Amino acid sequence: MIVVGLLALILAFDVAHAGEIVALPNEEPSLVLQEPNECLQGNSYCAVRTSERRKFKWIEKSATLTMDWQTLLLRLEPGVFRLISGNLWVSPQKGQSEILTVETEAAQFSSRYEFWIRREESQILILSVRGPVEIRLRGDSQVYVLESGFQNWISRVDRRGRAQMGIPRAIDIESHIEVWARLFPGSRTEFRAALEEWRPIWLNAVGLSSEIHQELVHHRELAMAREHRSKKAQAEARASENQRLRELFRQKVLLE
Amino acid sequence: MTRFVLFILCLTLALIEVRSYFHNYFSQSDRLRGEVGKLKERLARETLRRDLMAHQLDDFRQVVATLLPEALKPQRSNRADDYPLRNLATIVFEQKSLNLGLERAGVLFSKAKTHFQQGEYERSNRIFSSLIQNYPDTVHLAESYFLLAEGQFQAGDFEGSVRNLDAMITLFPESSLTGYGMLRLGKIFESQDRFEDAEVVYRTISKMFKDESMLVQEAQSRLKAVEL
Repeated sequence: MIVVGLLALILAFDVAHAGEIVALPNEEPSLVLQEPNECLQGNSYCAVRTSERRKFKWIEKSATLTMDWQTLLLRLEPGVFRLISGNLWVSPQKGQSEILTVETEAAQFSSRYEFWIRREESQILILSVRGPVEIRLRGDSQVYVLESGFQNWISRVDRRGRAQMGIPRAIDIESHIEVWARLFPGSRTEFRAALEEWRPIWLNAVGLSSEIHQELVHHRELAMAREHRSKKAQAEARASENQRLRELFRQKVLLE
Repeated sequence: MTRFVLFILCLTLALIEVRSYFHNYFSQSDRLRGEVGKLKERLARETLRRDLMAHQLDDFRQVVATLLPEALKPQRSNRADDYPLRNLATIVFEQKSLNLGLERAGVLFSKAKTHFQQGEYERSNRIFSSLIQNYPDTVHLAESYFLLAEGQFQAGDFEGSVRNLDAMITLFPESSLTGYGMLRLGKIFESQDRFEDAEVVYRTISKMFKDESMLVQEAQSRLKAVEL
């Protein structure tokens, strides 16, 4: 009787598992996808993509490049990278590293300090965390410097043949902390300490940013006043032209 | 009894194991899992390659965009093989061509006005007509209508003149130039013995253009003449 019961149990187990979805063994992480295969170890061209909800630390020279989820990064040559999609955090190993360059299709960013890049739909956001970042825009020979605690956006090459850049402003703290917390390598306590240490840099940037914007507003006011004067002069010229026309018509229509 | 139960349990476990082995062997699920895994990895790799190529193309586009303004400089020759670049230029410099158009309208207006002042009404009328038709955004539109209507009157084309004065009243009802145009319209009606129409026009001028004393004065004097 017991044997029959057990056999029935086995049969029921078998039937229940006949339509089960198969769990794929490859769901286990190979950490990142590399192209060409296993290229991370070398020094030459290498494309690396992180998968969903999986960040990756790439140690290069004396810097660490932390790739966020679903980020695609190319190593063009030692010390020179190209970010194609996602977010990338660049930090020196011990305070300061050799100069590391990260490119995008619109601009090139070089620094030996900590910075990070966020790729958005139509523009690139560069955030300088500690120390200056040099920015070279495509189609523009000038080198711009983004000071620590500041962020700026860069858009693609426009009809003037050069990439465009905004006005630097203090880092947007909320989105910055969100990404930083996600990519930070240490524990929560270490993160809090790092954040406290960084806070004065940000506060300084906020003060400077305010001064820059006040100056900009002042310049804009001056420009608007100039434009107003020019428009007024044009209106006066037009009024005088209209007066001349009226005179002409008085002669033609009234005094014929 | 206990021995028997233990034996049965061992036998059952052995049966489960054997069944599991044969199930896997015959259903080939392990092999299929492996294949699906490999296919998934291949797909991810192909997607990565495709994205890299798409980026190369995008990067190339940016290089072209950097070089384009230089290539589209206006002093380039107009040879047939420049056509694709010139074609592209019409899109890239859209704003510039619009400004050029407005500048051109200004030049045309000055030219037509000179002809008008010299009494060459046929020529001025031709230019004003083309200006109104081709540059409806120009700031000289009201004056152009006005001078065209007057030029047509001077050239004896009363119908054309009335048509343009009518357009002026519709488009620029508050312009003082329209007042003078209406005065001309009244005179045309008078010359055609349409005194009632002329009266309406003069009354309208008196009502609408109170700030233009000379205009109102003339309208009222014409009104008295018509009423007599």
